[in-house]
Amino acid sequence: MKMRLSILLFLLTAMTLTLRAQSDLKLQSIYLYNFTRLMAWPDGYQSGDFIITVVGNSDIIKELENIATTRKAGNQRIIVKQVRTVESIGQSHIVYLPSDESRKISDIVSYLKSNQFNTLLITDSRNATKNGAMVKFTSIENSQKYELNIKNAREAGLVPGHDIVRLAIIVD
Amino acid sequence: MKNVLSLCLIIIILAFTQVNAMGASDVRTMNRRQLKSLSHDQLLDLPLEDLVYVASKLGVSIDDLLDATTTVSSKTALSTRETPGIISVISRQDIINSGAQDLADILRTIPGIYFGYDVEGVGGIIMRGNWGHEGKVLFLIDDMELNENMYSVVQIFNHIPADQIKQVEVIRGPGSALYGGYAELGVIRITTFNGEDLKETAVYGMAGTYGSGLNRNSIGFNTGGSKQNSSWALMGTLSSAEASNGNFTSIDDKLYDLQDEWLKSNNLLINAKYSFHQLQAQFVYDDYSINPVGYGKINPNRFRNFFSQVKYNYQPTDKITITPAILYKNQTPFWFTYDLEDDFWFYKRIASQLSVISDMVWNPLHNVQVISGIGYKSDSARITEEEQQYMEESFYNDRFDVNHYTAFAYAQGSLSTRYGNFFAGARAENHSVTGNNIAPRFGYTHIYKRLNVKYLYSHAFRSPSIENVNLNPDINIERTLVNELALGYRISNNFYTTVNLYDIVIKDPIVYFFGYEDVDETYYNEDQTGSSGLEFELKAVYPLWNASFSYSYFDASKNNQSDVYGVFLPGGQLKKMMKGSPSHMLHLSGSVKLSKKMWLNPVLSWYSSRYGYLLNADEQTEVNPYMLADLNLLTKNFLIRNLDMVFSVKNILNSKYEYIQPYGFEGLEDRPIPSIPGKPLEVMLQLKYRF
Repeated sequence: MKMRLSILLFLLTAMTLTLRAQSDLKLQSIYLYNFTRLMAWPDGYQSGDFIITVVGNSDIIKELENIATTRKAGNQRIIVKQVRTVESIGQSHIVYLPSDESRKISDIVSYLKSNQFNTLLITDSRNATKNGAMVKFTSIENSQKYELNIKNAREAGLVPGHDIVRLAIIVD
Repeated sequence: MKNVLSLCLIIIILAFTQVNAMGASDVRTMNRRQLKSLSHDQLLDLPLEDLVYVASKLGVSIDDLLDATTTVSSKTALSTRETPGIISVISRQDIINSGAQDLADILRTIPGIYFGYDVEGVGGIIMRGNWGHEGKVLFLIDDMELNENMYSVVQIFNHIPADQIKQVEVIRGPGSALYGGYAELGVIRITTFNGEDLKETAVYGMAGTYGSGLNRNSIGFNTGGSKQNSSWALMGTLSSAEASNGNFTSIDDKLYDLQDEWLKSNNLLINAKYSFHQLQAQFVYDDYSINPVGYGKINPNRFRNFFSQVKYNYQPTDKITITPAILYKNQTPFWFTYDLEDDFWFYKRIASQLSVISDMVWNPLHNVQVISGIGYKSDSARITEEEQQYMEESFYNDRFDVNHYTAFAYAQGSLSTRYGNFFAGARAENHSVTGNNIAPRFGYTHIYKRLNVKYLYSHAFRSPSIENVNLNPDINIERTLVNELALGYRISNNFYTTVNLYDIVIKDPIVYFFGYEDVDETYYNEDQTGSSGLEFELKAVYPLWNASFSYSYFDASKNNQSDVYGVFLPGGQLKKMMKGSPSHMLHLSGSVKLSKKMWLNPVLSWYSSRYGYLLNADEQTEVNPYMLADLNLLTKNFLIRNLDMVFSVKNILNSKYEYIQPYGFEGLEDRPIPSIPGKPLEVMLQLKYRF
């Protein structure tokens, strides 16, 4: 009896190991697409290509490229760019910084400010919004959400739309 | 038993009725399976508000665990992969899922942690094979030391109710460089709820049975709230637990039925917090008692504790935070009256400690951080007038009071570069009895894509406690050196695995000796002890389920030279083991979300054989391996709104197992040291109502 129960318990737990689910990165990429629609960039950014730059390696690149093949940011074609150094970022609408690259955040913030770029800096690394990022993805109670630092966004010349603000976790 | 099974059946049926009452129509009413079937295009077309809703139903990943910040090993928030320590973080959800009632329940599935028992049936912690109960593991409740300062112990069973705990962080290695003395083998940092967490009042109760009658129960409340600049919390829990339903045979061959309240323990914990702007104040009253066997009639052995602290977070610039704190604790451990036919024994001594501490966190550059602190602790103990009346004993200084002082300073610097995070620090102490001591610590952590690595080199020391010195004024400090290497790999967005190796050497360990013939107790410095081993973990996190598997192993043959802790076969052959502790432990636990209101949480643990002087004092007896299997069913909004239920069946296999005293002396007065039986099959129901 003991052996049967043990096997049953092992099977129950092992069975769960075979299940699969959607990744967070897919959700983050869809959030990011929503931001292209709901965030207001200055006039100079509303023509030409809509540039999303990813710093370093991240599986989100594939997700974003997938979106870029079928969707536009308003009337702008979405271009996903991958860079390895801060100096290569250039003028971008959005910069996505994976947590693996979080040590670069100060350099990126300085770089964007010194070049006076109106760029939305999004990351999922800790303390990001305190260090200059505008949006940080976070998981609360098993749910993918995002923090928004309005002050950082405004300092970058960006105006978050009503829905972005309403649905965000606002941080200072 | 039939009644118990009927009750189980009714509860399960009711719970499933709740699940089947759910409906579905659009995105807001779709079930999770329907939401998962939404195409990529459909998701892209969703308004942001709906996307947020969908995200709340999907999407958790292993990052939730890996990015969970912990402060226990660095005093500043770092992710578990970066922090300089081998860390386990047990979240509130983990605690609820496991059906845990007390600290021992919470710690049970942490790799390398096991339990033994000490004199008077008091349960204690074993860390990586080493008996950590006597001041080798630091227990903190909201950064206040739980360890009592007479003997340095913390009672582990039926102590610190899980209902008040928000999170537990465990360093499975030394923390002396930051925390000082007791953090020699590990740190258990308990964080209780604060006002921001308690936006509503909760009342809760638990009842558990081992098959006949009510064998374990608790009742309590949590309340609190917060306004713009202030918050408050008040919690109180009263719990009671019988150790088992078996019998205990004492040293003098007497049989005790544990359902006659022998070894039954009671705990009252009252916890009050208040914060205003950056000022925080807290008061905790902790009253624990256990009914030890062997005394003819029941005489509770009581541990009464008051803890309090006031601290202030001062941030003069963006880069500096200074936290001055005043802490005071007053403890009456092992308070008992043994009124026997031929003897009378009374012990009531009060130890108090006043600590003035100032911590500082300084970030001079974006990649450099310095944490430091200075402090002064004044320890005093007194033999109460009651004891003076009955007993003719004074302290080693021929007085009824004694005072020890400790001044300390610590600092740790960290540098984050593209090649990793480098940590270096030390703690220096001046103790009025043992003089000057220093515990340096070096660490390296690095995350490279999916891989992370940690190497930690830590010294630790423990100054003798008041009774250590009192019973042997020549006692020396014990010192520990630990090397740890950890590798972690993020297999995918949902899987993470880690393995760590450790080597622990404890020099001059402070060991307790009790001679029954002369009723004589003392402490002395034993030969070197320690262990080396490994711990392996695999974690998986998905929106609908999560699972965790761990294996831990230790080998004491290289580092342990002590007969007191070691396992020796007849003829003196050294085994690789330590008394009372299984060399191999396996844990498999999981949580399956059955519906938006219901989770099923199985836990399975396996422990290899253990040894102790159980049947005779000349030869150690092997105790068979055993397995524990639990099932916990959590249902939120059960029957009515805001009523949460956890229904647990623990030790489903009704395995017979026992806790062993992890130290002993060969041939001592021809007295074996009997083991204490563990809990049998237990059916438990917890209810919590929030309003």
